[in-house]
Amino acid sequence: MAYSQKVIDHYENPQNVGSLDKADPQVGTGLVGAPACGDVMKLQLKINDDGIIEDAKFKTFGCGSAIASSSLVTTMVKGKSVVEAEKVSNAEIARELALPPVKIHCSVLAEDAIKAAIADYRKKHTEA
Amino acid sequence: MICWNCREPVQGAVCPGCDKLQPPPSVDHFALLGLPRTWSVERKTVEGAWRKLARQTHPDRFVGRRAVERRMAQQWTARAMDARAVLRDPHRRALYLATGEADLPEQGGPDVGAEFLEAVFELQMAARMGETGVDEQVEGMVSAQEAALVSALEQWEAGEGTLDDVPALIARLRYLRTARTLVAQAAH
Repeated sequence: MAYSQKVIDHYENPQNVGSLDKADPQVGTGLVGAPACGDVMKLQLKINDDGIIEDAKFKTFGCGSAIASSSLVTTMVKGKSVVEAEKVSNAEIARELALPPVKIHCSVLAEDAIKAAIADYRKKHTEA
Repeated sequence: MICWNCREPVQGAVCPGCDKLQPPPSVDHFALLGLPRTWSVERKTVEGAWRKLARQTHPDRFVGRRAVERRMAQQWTARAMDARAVLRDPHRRALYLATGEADLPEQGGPDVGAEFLEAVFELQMAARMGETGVDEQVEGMVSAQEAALVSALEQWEAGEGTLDDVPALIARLRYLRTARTLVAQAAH
């Protein structure tokens, strides 16, 4: 299957690969997976007291589209507020990367990862 | 069933009275191949049942016949190939028995548990960092999940349990298959 140029760009030169301190109260971690293909994606957000995403890191084990989706989504949410970041949709990611229908689930995974990371951050702050 | 041509009762793909091909029935993959709905069916049994049906309904046998029969022969061929592909693969057969679908859904799907996902992620990280022995750990997890899957299916077949855990076990094995590939790549 042919990947779009945008997928190849993000795959060959992924942005924001890495990890943040999971124990940091400012960091929310989302770990999600796609059972149908076995891809696993970890996405972390560092959120400041104003609710702005200061940093985003990811590590994805999976296909090129999954890596590209997570790379793109970190660039999309950096500098945004949590509320804005929550609105990032898989359709937006899929459109930006020109994903074919069989790879739409990769963009869904990236959306799920953002939501899971935000949920984790919120959990830390309601417990505190 | 009643033969669409001669109105005589008919069992099987071809009417014994008038030799006309019948449409494939709306039955599951097991019934289509004439196999019992069981987990413990051997691959060669599936192959044998499929080959018998494929011979009986092969489009080449119906070239000179009317369009309706030629179309039915194509339908039989497609259905039989589908049934064979699902039933000869142990994981797809297991999932089919448990859910009626041979493949996990593209999105959503069973919950494999946060701890399992974490473990798979950590193993792949370790492999990427150049740690050795990760492949053996992955194989160990594969063996454990395979054993749990077979045990669940055998108990179900003995009438002593449900197939409720099967989708999650299949999903875990799917994650481990991807992990196995990526761990092997990281080692090179």
